Amino acid sequence: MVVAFILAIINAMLIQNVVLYRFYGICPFLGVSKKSNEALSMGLAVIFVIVIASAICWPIYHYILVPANIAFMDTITYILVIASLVQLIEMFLKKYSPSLYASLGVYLPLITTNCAVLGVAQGNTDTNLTFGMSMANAIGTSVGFLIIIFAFSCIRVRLEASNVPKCLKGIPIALITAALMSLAFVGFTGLIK
Amino acid sequence: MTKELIIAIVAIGLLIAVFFVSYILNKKTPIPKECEELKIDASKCAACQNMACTLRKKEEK
Repeated sequence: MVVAFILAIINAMLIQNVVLYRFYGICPFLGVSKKSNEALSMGLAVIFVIVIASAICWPIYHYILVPANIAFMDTITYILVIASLVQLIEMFLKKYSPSLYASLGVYLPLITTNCAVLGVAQGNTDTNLTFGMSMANAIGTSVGFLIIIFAFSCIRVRLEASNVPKCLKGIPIALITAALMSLAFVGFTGLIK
Repeated sequence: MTKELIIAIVAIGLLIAVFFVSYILNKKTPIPKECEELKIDASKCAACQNMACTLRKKEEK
């Protein structure tokens, strides 16, 4: 059981990476990866929200939507849950942890529109994962997002100082870099048999 | 089918109510003094369409 949990985390983190394999969360991946410290804060905020959203959405689907025969309303339910959750977390941080709010505050509202959060919650219920495996998937996916956005930001910082052709400066070279990173991550396929 | 429809409407209504309550409570919660100077990059706000964001509204003012 513990082995399966760890393997599920590694699978979601490296093999089926949320950005490079599933292509979720591309907006914050490109938008908030110009500075390493910003990318790190964004990644931490995403971990926080994905894990809590998955822990809330799984019981709502299995104990409310399925018994009431309204499982078709899962997407709209998850959107409302995530939006409410972000508001509540922001309010909680404002009141009880100003230091954490100062570091995550700008990135918390951005998470509401991050499709990676919705994608994880939806994927957990679509593939009929158990609660434990859903949490493993949520942890692995969000940590995978943090690793990729931080690594990408470090590359972009170096790219800024590099002699890139004028026509490729900015987003074009960032997309080429992301494509190369995606190819590199294909190397992890087969890590788990 | 009618019963399912009513449950669906009630469920969505409840979730919308929860969102509005959380939104209003968040809006009424004052920003800590040490965080009042949080700087926002306006270009990032243009890319994000989150209308419930308190920071976006602060920037617009």
